[in-house]
Amino acid sequence: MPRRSSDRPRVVLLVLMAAALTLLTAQFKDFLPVDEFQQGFRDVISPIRKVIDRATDPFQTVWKGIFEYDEVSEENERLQLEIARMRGAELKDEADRELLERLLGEVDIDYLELETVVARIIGVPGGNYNSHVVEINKGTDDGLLEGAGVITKAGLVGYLYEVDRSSSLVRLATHPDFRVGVRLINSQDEGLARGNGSQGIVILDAGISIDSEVSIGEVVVTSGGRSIFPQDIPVGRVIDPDQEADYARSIEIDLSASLENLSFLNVILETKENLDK
Amino acid sequence: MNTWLRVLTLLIAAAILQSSIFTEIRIDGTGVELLLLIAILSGYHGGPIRGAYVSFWTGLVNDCVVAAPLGIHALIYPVIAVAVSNLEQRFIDERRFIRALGIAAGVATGVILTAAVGDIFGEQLFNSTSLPETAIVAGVITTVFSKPVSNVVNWTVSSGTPKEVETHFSGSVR
Repeated sequence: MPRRSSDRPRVVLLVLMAAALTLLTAQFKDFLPVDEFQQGFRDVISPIRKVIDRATDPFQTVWKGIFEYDEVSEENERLQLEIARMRGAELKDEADRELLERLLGEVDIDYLELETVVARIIGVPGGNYNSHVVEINKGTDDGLLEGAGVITKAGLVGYLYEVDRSSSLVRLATHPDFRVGVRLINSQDEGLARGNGSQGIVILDAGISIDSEVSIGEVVVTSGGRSIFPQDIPVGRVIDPDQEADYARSIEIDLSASLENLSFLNVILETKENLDK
Repeated sequence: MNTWLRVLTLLIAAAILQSSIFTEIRIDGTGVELLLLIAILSGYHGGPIRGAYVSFWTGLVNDCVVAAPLGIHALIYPVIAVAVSNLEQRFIDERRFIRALGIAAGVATGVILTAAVGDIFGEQLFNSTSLPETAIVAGVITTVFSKPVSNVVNWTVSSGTPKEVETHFSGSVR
């Protein structure tokens, strides 16, 4: 008896691949409610997920104790150093305050007055598909919208790229797909910075001319305009101005917010006041 | 229980585990690829056709869990399941270590293929320098969980397929 075409592995494989490509096209062309379907799926499993997370907490702690002992130890050391630094900082508070005021005056920072929602980081998505992404415990129920900028008091962190009802995913500034318009404080030159997958660094490689004077330590802030970020949010400081570039410049910026040690974040709300800034 | 009902139950349970406890089980930032493991094992236990169908749905579930464009994992997983199914006949009598190595290689290949397809669709996922390391670590850490997952997947996808037959002359034949 001849075999049906659906019994042939190659035919089945081709049909399934065609179905997957159709779904991908549907998502990229936006002609099926694929996003809503995915969000709905995550929303449905979310309550059970939270219960399992809570129930397996001791196991997760043991795992971290075994496999991340060095990191926990380093974190402990870092925090102790931080405490020591803070104690020392108290002594030269006066001088620092003067410096801070000068810096704030220099960049005209008013980003601390933005209306934000404070969110806690609850982890990273499963598997390895999403690197440079963290999950937070606030979603559409808290008024968050896709594309909203995410900051800390230290500066730029990333943006929301997937928002469910009670949680969201934040794409960090170091993600290779991250782009942000920035301004150099001294020269007032504006360009486009991007993540490159390296920890704590973004690259400014578009918009800055070869002969622009850029110095090490120069403060970089968001340029605003049509960007999802209001202007003057601190991005970081230049650590390599790539002064000897012949053709295209690739300026390295050390992010001011420490993305490796985040616990809480501020998501910028799209209020009229914020949009005006 | 109906096979497809079993598959549905398995996939929902796997999705919950992948997005809860397995988000924390990481070594140097690299996590377990539970759903990719299920796709590989469905090819191993279910044969090329059943394996392809199960792994396609596994891929779709993974796309939902990790918020990837719907279809990226579903495009890769059936290919891996069919490849594993074809190789399975050669490795069935091999020692456990060799089979574990095969699973690790399958997971690593899956991670690399997903990154490659993601790149084609404009999703830059990894540094090209960190990808091989991520793939290898993911392969090893995922293989650690392969024994219990294999039993569950075997129970899920093998119902209705012919059982092993003991022949008098040639030992075990499938």
